[in-house]
Amino acid sequence: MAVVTFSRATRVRIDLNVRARHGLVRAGFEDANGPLSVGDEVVVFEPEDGIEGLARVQELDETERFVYLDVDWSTFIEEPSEEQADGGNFSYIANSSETFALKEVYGTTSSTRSGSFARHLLWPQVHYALFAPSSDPSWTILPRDALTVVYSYFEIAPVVPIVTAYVDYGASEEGPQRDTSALVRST
Amino acid sequence: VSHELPPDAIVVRFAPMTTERLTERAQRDAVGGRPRLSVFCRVQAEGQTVDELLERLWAEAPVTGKNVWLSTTRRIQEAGLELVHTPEPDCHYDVDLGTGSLADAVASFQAAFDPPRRNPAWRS
Repeated sequence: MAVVTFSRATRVRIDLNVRARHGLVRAGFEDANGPLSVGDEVVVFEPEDGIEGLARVQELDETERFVYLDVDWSTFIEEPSEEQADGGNFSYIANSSETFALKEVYGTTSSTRSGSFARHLLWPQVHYALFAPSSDPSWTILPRDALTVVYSYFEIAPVVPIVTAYVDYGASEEGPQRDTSALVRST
Repeated sequence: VSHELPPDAIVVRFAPMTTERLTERAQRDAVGGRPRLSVFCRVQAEGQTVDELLERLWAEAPVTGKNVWLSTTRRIQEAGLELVHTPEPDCHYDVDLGTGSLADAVASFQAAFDPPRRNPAWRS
């Protein structure tokens, strides 16, 4: 069984057009909603288009207060609508050194398309349990009754054919909060 | 125009395009006190459609976005603005907004583009 916990990813607003050396995207420190460190994976977004994707911090210019981002343009998706936001969670799930992009499909078992992506809505202190097909001996399925709220996700990346993530909201009494800034990491 | 773009080269801009964001971005990306805005430019090959050009740009830049605004180098110049080649990537340019009124320059920049269209290369 692989149990994962989440860490919140900083979100950085970007101008889709801006490029700096080596094709990196430059944004200001003021465009970020949290801490930035070289090597961090962050969520980048463009609010007018309502899209977001993943990027890695390549460089910080403390003098000019610029962050230089290596954006993975293939990860861009539309940000979840309010309707979707009310419905559940979207997650980036990382296993080992590789990040898998997951897309919620509301309890069905059909995947959407190759290269589908991820988003995230979280309550504080959410715990995740990851599942995979029983044919994969490295994964074990947890009993569902151990979880208070269950959502299903389907992994589209080629490494593991299907991964289903069940979300345990634990003892949180604060109710759902929209948070599209979380990354889930394997522990 | 730097990098010798012909007058009919296609100038491509993705979001943001609102006055507020353009103004903010131009000031933040100023060079030598001259506000700048980023665009992509490509010469349309013979027989190449605009959609095909955008598909190529998606792979070359790379860049993506749901909406795209199109102009030409001629229209940018006629708006009193200057294109400055700023690789990398090779297709990337800055539009120098000059030293006059920033509000006027941003308005000229916006007016030099057609209304937005759906980016055919957008994949979600």
